[in-house]
Amino acid sequence: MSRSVPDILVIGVGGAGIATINALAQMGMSRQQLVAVDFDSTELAEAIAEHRLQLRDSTHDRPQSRADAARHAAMVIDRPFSDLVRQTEIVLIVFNLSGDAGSGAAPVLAASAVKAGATVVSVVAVREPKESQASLDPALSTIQATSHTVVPVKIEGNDVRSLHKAALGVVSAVRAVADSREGTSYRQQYATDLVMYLSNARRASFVEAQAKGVRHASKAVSRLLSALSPGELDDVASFILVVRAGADETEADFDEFFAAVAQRLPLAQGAFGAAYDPTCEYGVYLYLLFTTHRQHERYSPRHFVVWNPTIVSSRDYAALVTALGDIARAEGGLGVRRIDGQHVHIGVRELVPM
Amino acid sequence: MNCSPHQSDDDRIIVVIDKYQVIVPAPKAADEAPPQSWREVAVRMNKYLMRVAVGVPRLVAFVLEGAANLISGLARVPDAVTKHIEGAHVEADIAEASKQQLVEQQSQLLVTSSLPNDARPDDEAKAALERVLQILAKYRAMGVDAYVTFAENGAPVIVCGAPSGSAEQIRRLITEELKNPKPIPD
Repeated sequence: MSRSVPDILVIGVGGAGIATINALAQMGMSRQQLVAVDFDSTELAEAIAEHRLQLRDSTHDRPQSRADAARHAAMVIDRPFSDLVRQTEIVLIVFNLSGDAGSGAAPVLAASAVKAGATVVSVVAVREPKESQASLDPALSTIQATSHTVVPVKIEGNDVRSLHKAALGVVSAVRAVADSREGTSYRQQYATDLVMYLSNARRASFVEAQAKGVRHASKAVSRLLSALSPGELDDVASFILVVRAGADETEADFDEFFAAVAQRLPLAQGAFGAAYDPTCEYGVYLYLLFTTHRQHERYSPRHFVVWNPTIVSSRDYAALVTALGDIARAEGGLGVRRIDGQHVHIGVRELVPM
Repeated sequence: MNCSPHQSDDDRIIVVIDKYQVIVPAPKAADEAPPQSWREVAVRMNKYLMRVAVGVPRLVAFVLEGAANLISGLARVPDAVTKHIEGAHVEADIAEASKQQLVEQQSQLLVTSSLPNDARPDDEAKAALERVLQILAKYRAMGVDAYVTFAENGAPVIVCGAPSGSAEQIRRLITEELKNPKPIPD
């Protein structure tokens, strides 16, 4: 896929998922980018989505859980679903982990979208307090295994507004970069970063804050980051910051937020999306998606050089290494030192099915 | 999908994965802390490398299922290639050590003479980055992959001369490397 600007499709599975895509539609998202999936035909009919896929329970003659039925039903709609997501860069799947339709069907749909070549982000509502931890953990593991990134969102009772916000956070980031289709390379870089982060993260967390006006950038950022414990703050490996604000804000204003967050998270890799929204004339919304280190990553090497010794000359290899060293020196280091290396064969012939 | 694990040498291309650590100036007195930690420097380096990081390797089903396609180890690397790798390492080590020595000497001079430091770090880093880009462009023009990307833990990865379309395999290799880390002292 050669497109440089990501496109997004939001799949709402089950009641909470469909409520989320309805909320996104009301915020102005195109129906063409929304897909509703559910057993309930009435719920589907009311969905503000161009695409509706009904899960049909064809296994009622066998006793099994409703989630199992959803899983089987999702397999049945795999073909039309694959056709839908084939041209999509990012697929966002939104559902409630406690819901049968979502917990059963969403992992199947996620796997299908991955197979079709999309980067899959699952935004999952997890009810707090978890009334049934034992039953939810396997469901969470299943969606983690089939998605590139899972964003668990805590909800209280049936209030799924935080699910809407988390979905909006991802959509805003993608929309910001998509809006910059004709924009500068500066923003194009964010598009690349965004897709990279979403592809690489196995599990992300989400926090959001609202502020009135960019003059309170540091205050808003403090509020945003107060949702993270000191341990989490130290452990943030990467983040995507999305700022949604009115059209009167400038790119420099947006940068102020990014700088404030980057200052508080100096060891993290950051990506940034900015979305202009006319409804935010006097308010600024901040959304932070972040991933944390696994413990062993603290000990990982910091730079890799992967090179082909049958093509790359010694001179060029040395020049790459010294350039890396020069960047380190420019930042106050002494340079770089090779600590390990290995040879690896890469197969260049496509694997042949047996 | 089951896949044939057997491939001839002609179907394989050797790549070398070298891991580099950022090092910082040693403290000037026994009780003096280093001016920077390697971690701080490494993170600040990334702001430059992120500007040129490109394309995200996509997860493609047949690649995911093709782990057997990646064969690690030193076996059956032709002597000429081994010598070339060693030669390149030596050349890089000498060039880098020479620059590091210069920095240490300059650092001593600054301490003893209190000369103002007119260096413009950002320009120096950008110039170095430009050199990286020129080298990578040269190899891309030869039809092979050459780019900067990031591992899943945020570590920068410079790829030069890898087979075209091997990005996902490279990413998998790096991910495997990250699973077997070696502690790096601060």
